[in-house]
Amino acid sequence: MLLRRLAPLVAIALILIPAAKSDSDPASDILYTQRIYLPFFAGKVSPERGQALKETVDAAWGKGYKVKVALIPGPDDMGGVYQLFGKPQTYADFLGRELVFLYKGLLVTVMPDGFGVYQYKHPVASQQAALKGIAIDEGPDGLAEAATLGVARLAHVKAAVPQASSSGGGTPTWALAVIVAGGVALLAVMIAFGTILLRRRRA
Amino acid sequence: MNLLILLLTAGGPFPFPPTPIGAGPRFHPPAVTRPAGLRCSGRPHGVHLELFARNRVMIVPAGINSRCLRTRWPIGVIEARGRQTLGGFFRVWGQPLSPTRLPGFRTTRARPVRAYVSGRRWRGRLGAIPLARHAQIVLELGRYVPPKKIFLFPRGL
Repeated sequence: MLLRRLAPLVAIALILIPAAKSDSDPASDILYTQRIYLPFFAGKVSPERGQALKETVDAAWGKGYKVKVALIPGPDDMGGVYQLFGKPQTYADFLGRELVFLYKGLLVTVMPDGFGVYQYKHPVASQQAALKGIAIDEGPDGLAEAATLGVARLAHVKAAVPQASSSGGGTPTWALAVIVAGGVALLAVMIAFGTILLRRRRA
Repeated sequence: MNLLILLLTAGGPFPFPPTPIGAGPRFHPPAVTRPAGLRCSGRPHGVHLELFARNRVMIVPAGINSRCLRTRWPIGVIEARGRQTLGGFFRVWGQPLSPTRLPGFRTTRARPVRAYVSGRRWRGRLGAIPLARHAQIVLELGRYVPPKKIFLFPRGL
Protein backbone atom coordinates (compact mmCIF):
# COMPACT_ATOMS: atom_id res chain seq x y z
CA MET A 1 0.00 0.00 0.00
CA LEU A 2 2.73 2.41 1.06
CA LEU A 3 4.79 1.46 -1.97
CA ARG A 4 1.83 2.24 -4.25
CA ARG A 5 1.45 5.68 -2.66
CA LEU A 6 5.17 6.39 -2.95
CA ALA A 7 5.48 5.21 -6.54
CA PRO A 8 4.33 8.49 -8.19
CA LEU A 9 6.65 10.49 -5.93
CA VAL A 10 9.58 8.26 -6.83
CA ALA A 11 8.74 8.63 -10.53
CA ILE A 12 8.62 12.44 -10.24
CA ALA A 13 11.89 12.45 -8.31
CA LEU A 14 13.57 10.36 -10.99
CA ILE A 15 12.46 12.86 -13.62
CA LEU A 16 13.41 15.97 -11.66
CA ILE A 17 16.72 14.89 -10.15
CA PRO A 18 19.39 15.24 -12.84
CA ALA A 19 21.46 12.20 -13.59
CA ALA A 20 25.03 12.49 -12.41
CA LYS A 21 27.53 13.27 -15.15
CA SER A 22 30.68 11.39 -15.85
CA ASP A 23 33.85 12.90 -14.39
CA SER A 24 36.92 12.57 -16.63
CA ASP A 25 38.89 15.42 -15.08
CA PRO A 26 42.46 14.39 -14.23
CA ALA A 27 42.59 16.24 -10.87
CA SER A 28 39.94 14.04 -9.25
CA ASP A 29 41.82 10.88 -10.22
CA ILE A 30 44.98 12.20 -8.57
CA LEU A 31 43.58 13.97 -5.51
CA TYR A 32 41.81 10.95 -4.10
CA THR A 33 45.23 9.67 -3.06
CA GLN A 34 47.46 12.78 -3.21
CA ARG A 35 47.26 16.13 -1.44
CA ILE A 36 48.26 18.22 -4.45
CA TYR A 37 47.36 18.11 -8.11
CA LEU A 38 50.16 19.66 -10.13
CA PRO A 39 49.27 20.19 -13.78
CA PHE A 40 50.25 17.43 -16.19
CA PHE A 41 49.39 18.91 -19.52
CA ALA A 42 48.84 22.68 -19.47
CA GLY A 43 52.40 23.46 -18.36
CA LYS A 44 54.64 22.28 -15.55
CA VAL A 45 55.35 23.70 -12.12
CA SER A 46 59.08 24.06 -11.40
CA PRO A 47 60.40 21.51 -8.87
CA GLU A 48 61.23 24.26 -6.34
CA ARG A 49 57.74 25.79 -6.44
CA GLY A 50 56.14 22.35 -6.34
CA GLN A 51 58.24 21.38 -3.33
CA ALA A 52 57.41 24.62 -1.51
CA LEU A 53 53.70 23.99 -2.03
CA LYS A 54 54.05 20.38 -0.89
CA GLU A 55 55.92 21.42 2.26
CA THR A 56 53.32 24.05 3.09
CA VAL A 57 50.41 21.64 2.56
CA ASP A 58 52.21 18.99 4.62
CA ALA A 59 52.77 21.55 7.39
CA ALA A 60 49.04 22.31 7.36
CA TRP A 61 48.20 18.59 7.64
CA GLY A 62 50.81 18.28 10.40
CA LYS A 63 48.83 20.88 12.32
CA GLY A 64 45.63 18.92 11.73
CA TYR A 65 44.37 21.26 8.99
CA LYS A 66 43.32 19.01 6.12
CA VAL A 67 43.56 20.72 2.75
CA LYS A 68 44.01 19.50 -0.82
CA VAL A 69 45.00 21.74 -3.71
CA ALA A 70 44.48 21.53 -7.47
CA LEU A 71 46.45 23.81 -9.79
CA ILE A 72 44.78 24.29 -13.16
CA PRO A 73 46.76 26.64 -15.44
CA GLY A 74 44.88 25.75 -18.64
CA PRO A 75 41.92 23.79 -20.05
CA ASP A 76 44.16 20.88 -21.06
CA ASP A 77 44.18 19.84 -17.41
CA MET A 78 40.38 19.74 -17.28
CA GLY A 79 39.92 16.63 -19.45
CA GLY A 80 36.20 16.18 -20.06
CA VAL A 81 35.02 19.17 -17.99
CA TYR A 82 36.89 21.84 -19.93
CA GLN A 83 33.74 24.00 -19.77
CA LEU A 84 34.65 24.72 -16.16
CA PHE A 85 38.01 26.27 -16.96
CA GLY A 86 37.96 29.88 -15.82
CA LYS A 87 35.41 29.03 -13.12
CA PRO A 88 37.54 28.06 -10.11
CA GLN A 89 34.67 28.11 -7.61
CA THR A 90 32.35 25.99 -9.76
CA TYR A 91 35.16 23.55 -10.40
CA ALA A 92 35.92 23.36 -6.66
CA ASP A 93 32.26 22.45 -6.03
CA PHE A 94 32.44 19.86 -8.81
CA LEU A 95 35.74 18.33 -7.71
CA GLY A 96 34.73 18.24 -4.06
CA ARG A 97 31.62 16.24 -4.90
CA GLU A 98 33.60 13.80 -6.99
CA LEU A 99 35.86 13.09 -4.02
CA VAL A 100 33.14 13.06 -1.40
CA PHE A 101 33.39 9.33 -0.57
CA LEU A 102 37.14 9.54 -0.17
CA TYR A 103 37.87 12.99 1.20
CA LYS A 104 35.74 15.49 3.11
CA GLY A 105 38.34 18.09 4.09
CA LEU A 106 38.95 21.49 2.53
CA LEU A 107 39.64 21.64 -1.18
CA VAL A 108 41.23 24.60 -2.94
CA THR A 109 41.35 25.04 -6.71
CA VAL A 110 43.62 27.63 -8.29
CA MET A 111 43.18 28.93 -11.84
CA PRO A 112 44.58 32.07 -13.46
CA ASP A 113 41.20 33.70 -12.67
CA GLY A 114 41.32 33.05 -8.95
CA PHE A 115 40.65 30.58 -6.16
CA GLY A 116 37.81 28.17 -5.52
CA VAL A 117 37.06 26.59 -2.15
CA TYR A 118 34.87 23.65 -1.19
CA GLN A 119 34.27 21.57 1.89
CA TYR A 120 31.56 18.98 2.17
CA LYS A 121 28.64 20.28 4.25
CA HIS A 122 30.64 23.26 5.52
CA PRO A 123 30.31 26.96 4.63
CA VAL A 124 33.51 28.30 3.07
CA ALA A 125 32.84 32.06 2.99
CA SER A 126 35.62 32.83 5.50
CA GLN A 127 38.18 30.79 3.51
CA GLN A 128 37.10 32.46 0.27
CA ALA A 129 37.52 35.87 1.91
CA ALA A 130 40.96 34.93 3.23
CA LEU A 131 42.16 34.00 -0.26
CA LYS A 132 40.67 37.00 -2.02
CA GLY A 133 43.61 39.37 -1.70
CA ILE A 134 46.24 36.95 -3.00
CA ALA A 135 47.57 37.90 -6.44
CA ILE A 136 48.05 35.08 -8.94
CA ASP A 137 51.00 35.57 -11.27
CA GLU A 138 51.14 34.09 -14.77
CA GLY A 139 51.91 30.47 -15.52
CA PRO A 140 51.97 27.28 -13.46
CA ASP A 141 54.62 28.72 -11.10
CA GLY A 142 52.42 31.74 -10.45
CA LEU A 143 49.58 29.43 -9.48
CA ALA A 144 51.85 27.34 -7.25
CA GLU A 145 53.15 30.43 -5.47
CA ALA A 146 49.64 31.78 -4.90
CA ALA A 147 48.49 28.36 -3.64
CA THR A 148 51.44 28.19 -1.22
CA LEU A 149 50.56 31.60 0.21
CA GLY A 150 46.87 30.69 0.29
CA VAL A 151 47.36 27.44 2.19
CA ALA A 152 49.74 29.15 4.62
CA ARG A 153 47.17 31.85 5.27
CA LEU A 154 44.30 29.41 5.73
CA ALA A 155 46.16 26.99 7.99
CA HIS A 156 48.20 29.65 9.84
CA VAL A 157 51.47 27.99 8.92
CA LYS A 158 54.63 29.49 7.46
CA ALA A 159 54.75 29.44 3.66
CA ALA A 160 57.74 27.38 2.55
CA VAL A 161 60.26 29.35 0.51
CA PRO A 162 61.25 27.77 -2.83
CA GLN A 163 64.79 26.42 -2.64
CA ALA A 164 67.06 25.91 -5.63
CA SER A 165 67.07 22.17 -6.26
CA SER A 166 70.42 20.37 -6.18
CA SER A 167 69.92 18.79 -9.58
CA GLY A 168 68.08 21.40 -11.62
CA GLY A 169 68.64 24.83 -10.15
CA GLY A 170 72.26 24.63 -8.90
CA THR A 171 75.53 24.98 -10.75
CA PRO A 172 75.57 22.66 -13.75
CA THR A 173 78.07 19.76 -13.76
CA TRP A 174 79.99 21.12 -16.75
CA ALA A 175 80.51 24.43 -14.94
CA LEU A 176 81.78 22.62 -11.86
CA ALA A 177 84.22 20.67 -14.07
CA VAL A 178 85.51 23.92 -15.62
CA ILE A 179 85.94 25.49 -12.18
CA VAL A 180 87.84 22.45 -10.85
CA ALA A 181 90.02 22.21 -13.98
CA GLY A 182 90.74 25.96 -13.82
CA GLY A 183 91.65 25.68 -10.14
CA VAL A 184 94.03 22.79 -10.81
CA ALA A 185 95.65 24.68 -13.72
CA LEU A 186 96.06 27.82 -11.58
CA LEU A 187 97.60 25.79 -8.77
CA ALA A 188 100.02 24.15 -11.22
CA VAL A 189 101.05 27.55 -12.61
CA MET A 190 101.55 28.90 -9.07
CA ILE A 191 103.69 25.92 -8.07
CA ALA A 192 105.79 26.20 -11.24
CA PHE A 193 106.17 29.95 -10.82
CA GLY A 194 107.08 29.52 -7.12
CA THR A 195 109.67 26.86 -7.96
CA ILE A 196 111.29 29.10 -10.59
CA LEU A 197 111.41 32.03 -8.15
CA LEU A 198 112.92 29.83 -5.45
CA ARG A 199 115.64 28.53 -7.80
CA ARG A 200 116.54 32.06 -8.92
CA ARG A 201 116.85 33.27 -5.31
CA ARG A 202 119.07 30.31 -4.41
CA ALA A 203 121.17 30.93 -7.50
CA MET B 1 42.71 21.32 -31.88
CA ASN B 2 41.91 21.75 -28.19
CA LEU B 3 41.42 25.48 -28.74
CA LEU B 4 39.00 24.75 -31.58
CA ILE B 5 36.99 22.39 -29.36
CA LEU B 6 36.85 25.06 -26.66
CA LEU B 7 35.65 27.71 -29.09
CA LEU B 8 33.03 25.45 -30.64
CA THR B 9 31.66 24.19 -27.34
CA ALA B 10 31.89 27.36 -25.25
CA GLY B 11 28.71 27.75 -23.29
CA GLY B 12 27.91 24.07 -23.74
CA PRO B 13 26.01 21.99 -21.21
CA PHE B 14 27.15 22.40 -17.64
CA PRO B 15 28.60 19.09 -16.41
CA PHE B 16 26.91 18.95 -13.03
CA PRO B 17 26.49 17.10 -10.71
CA PRO B 18 29.55 14.87 -11.03
CA THR B 19 29.67 11.15 -10.38
CA PRO B 20 31.75 10.48 -7.27
CA ILE B 21 34.76 8.17 -7.30
CA GLY B 22 33.85 4.90 -5.58
CA ALA B 23 35.43 3.97 -2.27
CA GLY B 24 36.96 0.57 -1.64
CA PRO B 25 39.25 -1.75 -3.58
CA ARG B 26 36.61 -2.76 -6.14
CA PHE B 27 36.68 0.77 -7.51
CA HIS B 28 40.48 0.88 -7.53
CA PRO B 29 41.65 -2.21 -9.40
CA PRO B 30 45.42 -2.74 -9.44
CA ALA B 31 47.71 -2.10 -12.40
CA VAL B 32 48.79 -5.42 -13.87
CA THR B 33 50.50 -6.09 -17.19
CA ARG B 34 49.94 -9.48 -18.80
CA PRO B 35 51.45 -10.72 -22.06
CA ALA B 36 48.73 -10.49 -24.68
CA GLY B 37 50.65 -11.11 -27.90
CA LEU B 38 49.71 -7.76 -29.42
CA ARG B 39 51.51 -6.37 -32.44
CA CYS B 40 52.06 -2.69 -32.95
CA SER B 41 54.17 0.00 -34.56
CA GLY B 42 54.36 3.76 -34.87
CA ARG B 43 53.92 6.60 -32.46
CA PRO B 44 51.53 6.27 -29.50
CA HIS B 45 48.18 8.05 -29.60
CA GLY B 46 45.78 8.92 -26.80
CA VAL B 47 42.49 7.19 -25.98
CA HIS B 48 40.33 8.04 -22.97
CA LEU B 49 38.51 5.32 -21.06
CA GLU B 50 35.98 5.93 -18.29
CA LEU B 51 34.52 3.15 -16.18
CA PHE B 52 31.37 3.42 -14.10
CA ALA B 53 29.89 0.79 -11.84
CA ARG B 54 26.82 1.26 -9.65
CA ASN B 55 26.85 5.02 -10.29
CA ARG B 56 30.44 5.43 -9.10
CA VAL B 57 33.68 6.09 -10.95
CA MET B 58 36.13 3.21 -11.16
CA ILE B 59 39.77 4.21 -11.57
CA VAL B 60 41.83 2.97 -14.50
CA PRO B 61 45.21 2.71 -12.77
CA ALA B 62 48.57 4.08 -13.85
CA GLY B 63 51.29 1.52 -14.52
CA ILE B 64 49.76 -0.82 -17.08
CA ASN B 65 52.75 -1.01 -19.34
CA SER B 66 53.16 -3.13 -22.42
CA ARG B 67 54.92 -2.22 -25.66
CA CYS B 68 51.61 -1.51 -27.42
CA LEU B 69 49.41 -0.19 -24.60
CA ARG B 70 50.19 1.70 -21.45
CA THR B 71 48.72 4.01 -18.80
CA ARG B 72 51.16 6.53 -17.38
CA TRP B 73 48.62 8.36 -15.17
CA PRO B 74 45.54 7.14 -13.25
CA ILE B 75 43.28 9.42 -15.28
CA GLY B 76 41.96 6.99 -17.88
CA VAL B 77 44.31 8.05 -20.67
CA ILE B 78 45.61 5.02 -22.56
CA GLU B 79 48.58 5.41 -24.88
CA ALA B 80 48.10 2.97 -27.74
CA ARG B 81 50.43 2.13 -30.61
CA GLY B 82 48.98 0.92 -33.88
CA ARG B 83 45.49 -0.51 -34.32
CA GLN B 84 44.40 -1.80 -30.93
CA THR B 85 41.05 -2.72 -29.43
CA LEU B 86 39.44 -2.39 -26.02
CA GLY B 87 39.55 -6.17 -25.70
CA GLY B 88 43.32 -6.08 -26.18
CA PHE B 89 43.65 -3.46 -23.43
CA PHE B 90 41.64 -5.56 -20.96
CA ARG B 91 43.71 -8.63 -21.85
CA VAL B 92 46.92 -6.71 -21.13
CA TRP B 93 45.37 -5.43 -17.89
CA GLY B 94 44.27 -8.95 -16.97
CA GLN B 95 40.73 -7.83 -16.17
CA PRO B 96 37.40 -9.19 -17.42
CA LEU B 97 35.36 -7.42 -20.07
CA SER B 98 32.05 -8.86 -21.21
CA PRO B 99 28.36 -7.90 -21.32
CA THR B 100 28.04 -9.18 -17.75
CA ARG B 101 31.43 -8.30 -16.27
CA LEU B 102 33.67 -5.34 -15.56
CA PRO B 103 36.67 -5.44 -13.20
CA GLY B 104 35.29 -6.32 -9.75
CA PHE B 105 31.62 -6.23 -10.83
CA ARG B 106 29.02 -8.53 -12.34
CA THR B 107 25.64 -7.86 -13.84
CA THR B 108 22.91 -9.85 -15.58
CA ARG B 109 22.30 -10.38 -19.29
CA ALA B 110 19.05 -8.46 -18.81
CA ARG B 111 20.99 -5.36 -17.68
CA PRO B 112 24.29 -5.67 -19.54
CA VAL B 113 27.35 -3.45 -19.52
CA ARG B 114 26.75 -0.47 -21.81
CA ALA B 115 29.44 1.11 -23.97
CA TYR B 116 29.58 4.59 -25.52
CA VAL B 117 32.10 5.89 -28.00
CA SER B 118 32.25 9.68 -28.26
CA GLY B 119 28.83 9.82 -26.62
CA ARG B 120 27.14 7.31 -28.95
CA ARG B 121 25.98 3.90 -27.83
CA TRP B 122 28.16 1.02 -29.10
CA ARG B 123 26.00 -1.96 -30.03
CA GLY B 124 28.71 -4.36 -31.12
CA ARG B 125 31.05 -6.59 -29.15
CA LEU B 126 32.70 -4.64 -26.32
CA GLY B 127 36.12 -6.12 -26.99
CA ALA B 128 35.98 -4.93 -30.60
CA ILE B 129 35.76 -1.22 -29.76
CA PRO B 130 38.70 0.31 -31.61
CA LEU B 131 41.19 2.35 -29.61
CA ALA B 132 41.26 5.04 -32.28
CA ARG B 133 43.13 8.30 -31.79
CA HIS B 134 41.31 10.53 -29.26
CA ALA B 135 38.45 8.08 -28.84
CA GLN B 136 36.35 8.83 -25.74
CA ILE B 137 35.11 5.46 -24.49
CA VAL B 138 32.70 5.02 -21.58
CA LEU B 139 31.70 1.69 -20.04
CA GLU B 140 28.81 1.58 -17.59
CA LEU B 141 27.39 -1.09 -15.35
CA GLY B 142 24.24 -0.23 -13.41
CA ARG B 143 22.63 3.20 -13.39
CA TYR B 144 22.92 5.33 -16.52
CA VAL B 145 25.54 8.09 -16.41
CA PRO B 146 25.34 10.58 -19.32
CA PRO B 147 28.53 9.85 -21.25
CA LYS B 148 30.97 12.58 -22.22
CA LYS B 149 31.60 13.10 -25.92
CA ILE B 150 34.87 14.97 -25.75
CA PHE B 151 38.03 14.77 -23.68
CA LEU B 152 40.91 17.24 -24.05
CA PHE B 153 44.05 15.20 -24.60
CA PRO B 154 47.55 16.27 -23.68
CA ARG B 155 49.53 17.77 -26.54
CA GLY B 156 51.55 15.23 -28.46
CA LEU B 157 49.07 12.42 -27.94
